Amino acid sequence: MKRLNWQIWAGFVLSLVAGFSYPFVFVRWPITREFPWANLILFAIATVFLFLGLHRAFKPDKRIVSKIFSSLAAAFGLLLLAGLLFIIFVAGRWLPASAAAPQVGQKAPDFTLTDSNDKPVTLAQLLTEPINNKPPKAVLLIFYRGYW
Amino acid sequence: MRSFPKNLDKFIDAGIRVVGISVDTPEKTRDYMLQKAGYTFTFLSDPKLEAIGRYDLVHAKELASGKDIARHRSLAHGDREFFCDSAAGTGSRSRKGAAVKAVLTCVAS
Repeated sequence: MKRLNWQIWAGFVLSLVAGFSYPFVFVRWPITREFPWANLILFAIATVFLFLGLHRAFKPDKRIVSKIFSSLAAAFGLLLLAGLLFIIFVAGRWLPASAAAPQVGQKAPDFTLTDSNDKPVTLAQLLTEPINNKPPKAVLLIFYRGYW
Repeated sequence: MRSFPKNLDKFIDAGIRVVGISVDTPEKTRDYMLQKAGYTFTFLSDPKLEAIGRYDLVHAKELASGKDIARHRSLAHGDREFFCDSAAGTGSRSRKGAAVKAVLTCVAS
């Protein structure tokens, strides 16, 4: 009797889960968003199953159909992995050109923002209020992404 | 972001005030940056992208969060008026400490 190559199916379904759980599930938490740990672990398990399935399908007694099917499933799984890595590590870092940004040497635009004590603070203030009893030589503005 | 707080002493010694700016509210900043991360420098909240927009640092609909955020960038205002940009030294592929060095050199010059 012909038995189902469950390994290849498991690998295929797992790689689907590994790929699509990132935008729908794991993107919600910073720890699984910044680096896709969870997805890479799922992909690792999926790859093991795909490999086992391929190994089984390529035994001499198996039909050509099962060889073709399992190869396609494995290729699809790896393609999903490559796609996810590309989106996160390559496309996710593309930035639109910043045309209106102040240029080096230009005067820094002033602003008024709220500090962590809910008080309004201007850049002019930051540039004049002393640190260590001396007026500061410069102010270093660090823009970071937020949404922690 | 992390290399700057780590070198806070160097900046203070050089007379540089360090200020962090993000879209987070003052409440969130208190929770995460001051209490949890233990940072001691000034933090400003820019939820409406006022300063982030004026410096043209908006990264519209960032892929991971689907929200508008600030690009990672650090700007030093040397001589109280003009600024130099350490962006060339930042980013994941750059050498460690390159951005910190860039800022210190920029202000000293």
